[in-house]
Amino acid sequence: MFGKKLGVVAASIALSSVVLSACGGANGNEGATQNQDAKAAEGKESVSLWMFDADPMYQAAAEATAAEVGVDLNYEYIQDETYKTKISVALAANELPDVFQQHAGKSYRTPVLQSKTVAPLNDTLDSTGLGAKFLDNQLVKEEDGNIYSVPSNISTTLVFYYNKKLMSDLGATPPATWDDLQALVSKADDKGIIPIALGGKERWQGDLLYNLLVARQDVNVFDNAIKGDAKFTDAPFVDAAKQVATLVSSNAFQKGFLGSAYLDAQELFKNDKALIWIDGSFNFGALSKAMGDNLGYIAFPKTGAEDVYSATIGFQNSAAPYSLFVNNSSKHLDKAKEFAIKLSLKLNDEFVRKGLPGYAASEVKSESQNEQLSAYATDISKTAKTQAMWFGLLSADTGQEYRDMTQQLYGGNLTPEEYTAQLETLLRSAE
Amino acid sequence: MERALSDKKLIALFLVPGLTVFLIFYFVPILMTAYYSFQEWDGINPMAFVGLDNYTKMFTADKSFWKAVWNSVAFLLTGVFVQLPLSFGLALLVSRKMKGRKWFRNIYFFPVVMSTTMVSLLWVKIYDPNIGMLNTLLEAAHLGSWAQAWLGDTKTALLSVLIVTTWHYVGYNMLILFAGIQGISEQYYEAAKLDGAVGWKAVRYITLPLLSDVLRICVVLNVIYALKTFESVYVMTNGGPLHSTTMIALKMFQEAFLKQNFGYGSALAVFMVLECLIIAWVLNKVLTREKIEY
Repeated sequence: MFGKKLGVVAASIALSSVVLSACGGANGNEGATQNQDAKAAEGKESVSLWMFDADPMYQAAAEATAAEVGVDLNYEYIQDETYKTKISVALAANELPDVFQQHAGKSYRTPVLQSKTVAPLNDTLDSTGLGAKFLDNQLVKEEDGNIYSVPSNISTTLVFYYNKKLMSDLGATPPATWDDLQALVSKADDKGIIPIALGGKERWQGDLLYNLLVARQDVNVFDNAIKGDAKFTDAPFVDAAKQVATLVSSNAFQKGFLGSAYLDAQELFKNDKALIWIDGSFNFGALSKAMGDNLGYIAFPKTGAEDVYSATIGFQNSAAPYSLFVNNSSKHLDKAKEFAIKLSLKLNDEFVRKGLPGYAASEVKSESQNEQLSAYATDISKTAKTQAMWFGLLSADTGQEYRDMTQQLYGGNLTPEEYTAQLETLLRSAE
Repeated sequence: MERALSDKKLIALFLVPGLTVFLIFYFVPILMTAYYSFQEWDGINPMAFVGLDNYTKMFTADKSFWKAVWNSVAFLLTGVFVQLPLSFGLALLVSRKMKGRKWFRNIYFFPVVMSTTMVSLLWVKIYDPNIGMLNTLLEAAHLGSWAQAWLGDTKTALLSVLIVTTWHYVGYNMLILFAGIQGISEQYYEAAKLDGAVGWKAVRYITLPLLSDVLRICVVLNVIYALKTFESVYVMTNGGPLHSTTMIALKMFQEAFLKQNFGYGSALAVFMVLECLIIAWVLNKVLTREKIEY
C-alpha cells in the first residue's frame, strides 16, 4: 500500500519527535550527501563512513585509506548505543552512508542483508586481487553465494580485568576458582571496595557474564540446547544462574548496579573504586592507556566443571562478524567498495601491529606488547572454543527479551529455576 | 484589508497551504501509523496483516505495558498535584513586590532553558550511589542510612525521576502562572482588601478564580507532557531497573527501533495518541466553566 521508505519515515515521524531526537543527527547523512555533491563538483569523489568504534585508530585508518584510494572522506563517529538505533532507521529508510560498520551478531547482520541495500563485494575483491589477502573463512559467503561485507574488527572476547593496586591493598591474589572468587568478593566488600563493577543499565555485561558462567559449567551445553539436544533448564544453566544470584546476594556488584551505565561502571574500575571489571578484549588498549601497569588480567576462573581454557565468550560468530558494508545506492559505488576493502585491510594491519591475530595476511611487524595483552594473546591461543555470545545468535526481538529476562535474574525478580524455565520457553519458541 | 478579513472564502484560501502542510506532516503519519499497527512488520520485510493482534498483545500479554501506564499516571499525578501547586506557590512569591524578585524568577526558570538530556545527565551524576553528591551530602549530614541506590533500585527509581522532572519544569508553569497573576487588575485586590480579604483569602477568592483559565492550560500541558515523557527516562534509566520506570513512549521506541517490531511499536503509538486526545478532551470538558467576572 505504501512505499517502504515513505512508510518508515512516516512511522518515525508519527512514533514521536522524541524518538527522532534520540536518533540524533539524522541530518548528518544529508550533510554528507551535500558535501559529497560539492566535492563531486570539484572533481574528486567522496565517501561517507559511519563508525561506532571510539578508538582513534579507526579514524586514522579511514583517513589513510581515503588518501590511498584518492577520495574525500566524510567520517562520522556515532556513539555505540545511539548507532544501533540510527543504523536500523537508516536501513529501513535507505538513508545509509556509502560505507558503514555494523555490529556482530545475527540480530544486527540479518536486517542489513534483508534490507537489500548493501552491495556485493565479490567483483572488487576479485578484480583487485585483495580478496586473496583475507584468511580462510574470514569473508562471509551468504546463501546467494555473494560476499557482502569485509571484517572491521578481530575476534574479541570477554575478559576478566582486575585492578592490581586494589588487589595488592587487599593482600589477595586473582581468583582461580569459584571459591576463590567468592572469598575475594567477600574480602573486598568487607574493606569497602566494590568487588565487581557492572554496567547493568545496558544489560549486556551481565548477560555475557552469565554466558561465560554457563560455559564454565559445560562448554557445549548452549549449542546442544539450541539444537534441541539439551534443555535450558538443565543443571549447567541453573547452576550458573545460581552463581549469578550468589554474586548479587554477596554484594559482588556496586550499589545500584542495575541502573549503572557501562561507562560509569568502567570509571569505578579505572579510578580504583572497583576491583574487577568484566569487559571485552577490545578495551585492552584504552584500559592500558588509562591505568598503565595497574591493569591486571587473568583468564576467567574455573567456576564450574570446565577448565579455564575450555572456552571463552566471543562478541562475534563466524557467520555474523563485525563488518563493513557498502551501500548499493552509493553514488561512487566502485570507489566505496575499494575503500571498504582497503580499510578492512588497513585495520587488520593495525591489529597485527598491536600483536593481535589478524583476519588477513599482513606485512606489518608486531610491536612489543604489554605484559597483560601478551598474556591474553597466549591464553586465547590455548582456548579450545570461542562460544559466540548468545545475544548475537538470536533475532533482535528475542535477543532483547532475553536480555530483559537476564536483568530480572540479576535484579532478583526471578529465581534461577524461574529464569531458566522462562529461558527454555523463550529460546525454544524462537527456534 | 478589512474587506479581505471579512471574506470567509479568502480567509479559507489563505489557510489552505498551512492546513495542507499540517495534514501531510501530522494527520497522514498518524493514519499510516494506525495502519501499521494492524501489521506485523520489522521495517524491512513485507508486512503481514495481523488484525488486532498487536492490541491484544498490548493489553493482555505485555507485562511491562501496564507498568508503563501506571508510570504515566504517576507522572500525571505528580505534574498536576505536586508540580503545579509548587509552581503556583513560586509564581505567588515572585509576584510580590519585593527586592530581587526578578532574580528569583530567573533562578526558578533557569532549569527550563537547560536541555532535558543535560539535566538528566546532571542528575544521574548527583544520584550516583557510589560517587554521587546526594549520598555524600546525606552521609556528611549523618543521614547515611537515607543513602540509596536512587536510580538503581526499583523502589526509588521512579520517585527519583519524578523529582528531576518536577525540578526541571516547575519554572515553566511558574512563568505561565506568573504572567496570569500579572494580568489580574490590582483594583480587585484593593476592593477585596476593603472587605477584609487579604493574604490567603485574597489568593483563594481573587487570584485562583481569575487564574482558572491559565490553570486549565497548565493542567492540560502537564498531563500531555506526563503522558509522552521519554527523554528524561531514556537518559536516566532507560526504563529500568526491571521496567520500574518504563513509559509508553519509551516502550514504543524500544519495540520499533531496538526490537524492530514496527507493527507493535505503532500500536503503542496509537494508544498514546488516543490516550492524550481523550484525556485532554475530558480535562477540557471537566475544567471548562463559565468565565468569572467581577
